[in-house]
Amino acid sequence: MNALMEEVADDRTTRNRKVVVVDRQTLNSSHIKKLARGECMILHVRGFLEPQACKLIANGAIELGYMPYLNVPSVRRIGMAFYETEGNPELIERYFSLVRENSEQMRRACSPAVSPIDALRCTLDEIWEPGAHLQTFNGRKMFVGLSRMVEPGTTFLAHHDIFEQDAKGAPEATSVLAQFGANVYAQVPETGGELLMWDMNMSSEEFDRRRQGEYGLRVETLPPPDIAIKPSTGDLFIFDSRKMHAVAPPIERPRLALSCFVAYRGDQMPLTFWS
Amino acid sequence: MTTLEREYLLVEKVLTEENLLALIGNEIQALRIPNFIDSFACEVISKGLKSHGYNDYLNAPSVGRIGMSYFETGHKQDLIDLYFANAVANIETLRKACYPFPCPIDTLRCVFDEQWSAGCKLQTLYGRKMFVGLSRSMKPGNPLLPHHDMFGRHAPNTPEANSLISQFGINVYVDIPEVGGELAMWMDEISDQQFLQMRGENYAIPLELLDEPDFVVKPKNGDLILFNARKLHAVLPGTGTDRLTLSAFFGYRGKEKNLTVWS
Repeated sequence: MNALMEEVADDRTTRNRKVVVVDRQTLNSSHIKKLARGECMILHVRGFLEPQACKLIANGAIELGYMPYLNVPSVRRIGMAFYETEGNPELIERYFSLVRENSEQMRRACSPAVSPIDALRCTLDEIWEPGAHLQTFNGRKMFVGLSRMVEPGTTFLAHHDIFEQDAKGAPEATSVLAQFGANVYAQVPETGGELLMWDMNMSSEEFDRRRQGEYGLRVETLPPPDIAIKPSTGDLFIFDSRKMHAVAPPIERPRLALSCFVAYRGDQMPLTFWS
Repeated sequence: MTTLEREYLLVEKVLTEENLLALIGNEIQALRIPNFIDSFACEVISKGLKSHGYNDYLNAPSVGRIGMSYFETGHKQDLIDLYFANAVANIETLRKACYPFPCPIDTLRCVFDEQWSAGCKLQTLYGRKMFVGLSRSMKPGNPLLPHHDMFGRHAPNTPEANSLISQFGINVYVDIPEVGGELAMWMDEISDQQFLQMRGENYAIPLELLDEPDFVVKPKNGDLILFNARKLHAVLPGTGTDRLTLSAFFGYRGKEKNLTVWS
């Protein structure tokens, strides 16, 4: 059995911020607590998904076809992110009306392999003492399990993910103490596709001012990232999504990841997830 | 379909809160969702389970299982410790046996969480996570004797068991013999004391001590069947091949409370 290992990412610019590396069997609640307390920025879970499952998912997802984000046309996805609703009541209605269909489509896209997001949901429920369940919003179940394809030569601009920005004043959002992004990588290019992270909590005002109408900031407008970490196919990253993060452009083939957010509201509260 | 079967069994395409409430509200005794997993998945999972291999229940020989049922602990501290020490690892064992297909119990946990307003979580007991997703193998000619399932008997005087309003059985049918292997149910709800008296030295009540079951359901491969586990129920002997299932319980504690699952 692999022992728990902690290591500083072997990037010269890590500035001593830790990436905690574990495998699927050793992931436990202390790692989630570490992330929640800001003692590390990324949990790197090696081999969360087996290679055969990754291959099946990559093939299935490509066959099903991807649609661009409503507000980020360069990134294609299956499912709909709550972020896309931008407070627009019609889009919020659309998001919720598509939850069942999108959940089933996400499972179909992974079939015959396991949905990595279902596996993650069960795993979090097993390792977190108060359990884990789907996030509700205004009494309705949210969607979880967005699958995203970043094409060669395109990027995810630097951004932060803060539930309250997408759900202003909602008790479901204001009660969140820490928000994590969780990505399971079904296909990773040989070159590029790193997760870039900055140890920087930018205020929403500054972020909105600097992004100048784009959904995020160009990486060149920021100092060099504090962490640049490359996942292997099948890895799971859980990271502090309130810090600025971006994806380096994949070079020879698209980067395919299934993703969701995880909310932490204290050690005695269940974790919740949504996309 | 017999009259009683029509009355007590609801067949639905998908699981919803509404059909769960029909089961919980005693309007029906069993809910069947055909094709919860497809025939290819059944084939691969059946192979995976067989190649992992089954061990007999500690207290119900002739019933093979992968994983451990809390029923087997029989109030013995060493077995309770064994159960919890292996709970999460056993979930992973079942996942591996189903691989690369999803473990159907994982999928069901997610679907429950999506459909039930207050969500669904793994049951904890004594502050520890329980196991869920037991696989059972019944040899041809062997019945699973009539019994009811009462969490409170196995975990007496615990808030987790005392707070239960009702308990339901979950079965996903992976490999079912062509003849036999029906789920049989009786409408009687006998007290646990009466049950223990009737079973005597057996793990459950011998079939011949009861009248004919009130209704029987013949599962098909890929079916998910949820049923009221507090009613007496049994599995009738199958013919020819082993009968393989994945099973669990879910507990109901009110409409505003999350469901819980365990084995």
